[in-house]
Amino acid sequence: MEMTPPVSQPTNRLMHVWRIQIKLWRRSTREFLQELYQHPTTLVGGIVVIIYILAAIFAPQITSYDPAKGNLRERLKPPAFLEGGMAKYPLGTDDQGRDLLTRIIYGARISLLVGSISVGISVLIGTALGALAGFYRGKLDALISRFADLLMAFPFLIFAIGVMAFIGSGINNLIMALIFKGWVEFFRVVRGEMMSEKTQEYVEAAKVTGRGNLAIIVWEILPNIVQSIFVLATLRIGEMIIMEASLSFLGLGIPPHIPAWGSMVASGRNFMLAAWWVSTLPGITLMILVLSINLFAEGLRDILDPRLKTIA
Amino acid sequence: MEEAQPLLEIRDLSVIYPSKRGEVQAIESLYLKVPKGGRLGIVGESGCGKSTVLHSILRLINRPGKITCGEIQFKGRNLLKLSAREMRSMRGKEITMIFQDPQTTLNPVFPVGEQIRESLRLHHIVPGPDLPWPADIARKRMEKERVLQAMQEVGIPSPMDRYTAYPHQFSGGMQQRALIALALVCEPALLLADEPTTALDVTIQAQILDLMLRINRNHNTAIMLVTHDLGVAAEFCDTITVMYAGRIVEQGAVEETVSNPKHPYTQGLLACRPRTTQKDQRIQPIPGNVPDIIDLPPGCAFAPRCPSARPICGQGPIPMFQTGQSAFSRCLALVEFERETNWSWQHIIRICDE
Repeated sequence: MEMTPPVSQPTNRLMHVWRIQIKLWRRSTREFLQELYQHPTTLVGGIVVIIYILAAIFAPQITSYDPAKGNLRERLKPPAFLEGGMAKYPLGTDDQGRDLLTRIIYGARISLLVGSISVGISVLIGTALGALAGFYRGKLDALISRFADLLMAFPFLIFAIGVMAFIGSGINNLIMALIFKGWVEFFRVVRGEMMSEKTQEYVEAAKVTGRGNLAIIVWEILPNIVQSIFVLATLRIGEMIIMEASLSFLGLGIPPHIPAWGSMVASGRNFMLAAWWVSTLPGITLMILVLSINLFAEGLRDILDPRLKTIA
Repeated sequence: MEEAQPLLEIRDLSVIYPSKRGEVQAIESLYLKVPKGGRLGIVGESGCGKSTVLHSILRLINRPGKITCGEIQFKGRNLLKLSAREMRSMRGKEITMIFQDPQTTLNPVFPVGEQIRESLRLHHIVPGPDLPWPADIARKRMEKERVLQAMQEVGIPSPMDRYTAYPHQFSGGMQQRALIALALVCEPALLLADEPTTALDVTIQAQILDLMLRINRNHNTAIMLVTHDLGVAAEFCDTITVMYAGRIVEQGAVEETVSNPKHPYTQGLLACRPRTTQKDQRIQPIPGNVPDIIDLPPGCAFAPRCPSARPICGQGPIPMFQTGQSAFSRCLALVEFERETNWSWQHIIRICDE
């Protein structure tokens, strides 16, 4: 039987598989947005997070104050909406006469930076080790798993305090301390997923087409579990931000001259009765951000989890 | 008539799976031949080792299972002696396999067309330099052309639209067609089919078998079909091998094996097929169960279930007897019938080597 060639020249819709993957997530962007629209809390969470990110990026454009320089004659001014407040300090000033709004906006930079970098590197380390351990098992897996178990035995905050006390404060050290324990969570999730996915038939089918083990891990299995990694990463960003704030609050994280929400809360403690806003407002800002991230992450899990999806 | 050199020849293959209770002899001393463009059916109950045969050809026996002895000659090379890299380039290009459940065999997160194209890319079927991502458009277009052709050939309607569709958007029959396209896009010489129609309903089964038959004729692709349905095998194959507890019990051309089975197990398999000719006839099951293959009886493994078993059946290894022009059977009952047959071990081995 003679083969008839395809009817016309195919349009070049061939994009790199990962680009398709990220763009579509098995559905079009429009469908994704529609789904997002049906989860209003996710949408609100996402929008709030985007506002925080934009505020952090455009901090110098939003406010004209210097976050480090204060006006000592205008210390502890209340927010504009309270009695005695000044319109030029919408959220009041702190004990050194620095504009609180400016410091909160600049503080978002630190929080988001620490959160995303520490989670980003944790994801890379955890995924790489988890994928290798879960796929190959054996001695490598036993070794890494025992080390991970060891790290899991410490409460995160106590562990981070210990590491920071050892290597000293500073933003780089803080990120390192967070990564040092942060990768374990990703390692465990990826390892578990890898162990269950590697028994799937598509893995065997990939072997039959002649793919090597490493290619199967990276190009066949990881795309199947990238969703759970993504959701977990989003949740962990919130947790890492809280960790950073806690360490800064304890004076072990970000050096005092850099505005960070944790240290702002700490510095306001002494005048809690006289000027409650100095501690409370950065705290509320932090709470709203973490809450929004969590709402977004949870909604994302509902949207992306194929098990909760009906077949289109 | 077989050609001088068969495409695939398995000699004395044994596979074991170590377990806590002892070694499981999944395959014991197996001899098989597949000629170029031949269609061999392997039939047997679950756990008789028929899938293990296919996996050992591809050298994809899951650990801790291992091939203990034997050789697998494919196009004049012993597959068991190849390096891991050479073996990888064999898989998919020269020998490929399709599976029972198409639903789980396609990767759920990639478009079907891309998965088929991946096989082409992997084996450099389309000539030309392997350029990095943005510069490989021309090559991708050629590969896509081939994929669309293959999709069209296996009967996927409007392949252009189906190229970017995901596996869950395909029906079961279409998924199996896509898998066949994936297997055949590199034009392999041997296709291993592990119960390819078991998960499909009967009408689709017939279509898929029909498609495989067409591919066998058009491309001269040899096919090894593993199935537990002797009816399917009889219809599709030209040679049939019946396995029981890791051994071949009967082997031969379809005409001889199915119309005139010599081994009681094959007879039992044929008797338990539903028939349309006789009304209200009960299906005759084979009594008993497959024996525990860790602890096989010393002689014929089928003896405990065999209607015509005699004490001698449990005494020692049973050789293969030639029962027809190209038919062999591993049963002592044949000695009774053909007492004159002058058999010996040398005789048997000579037959297997031929």
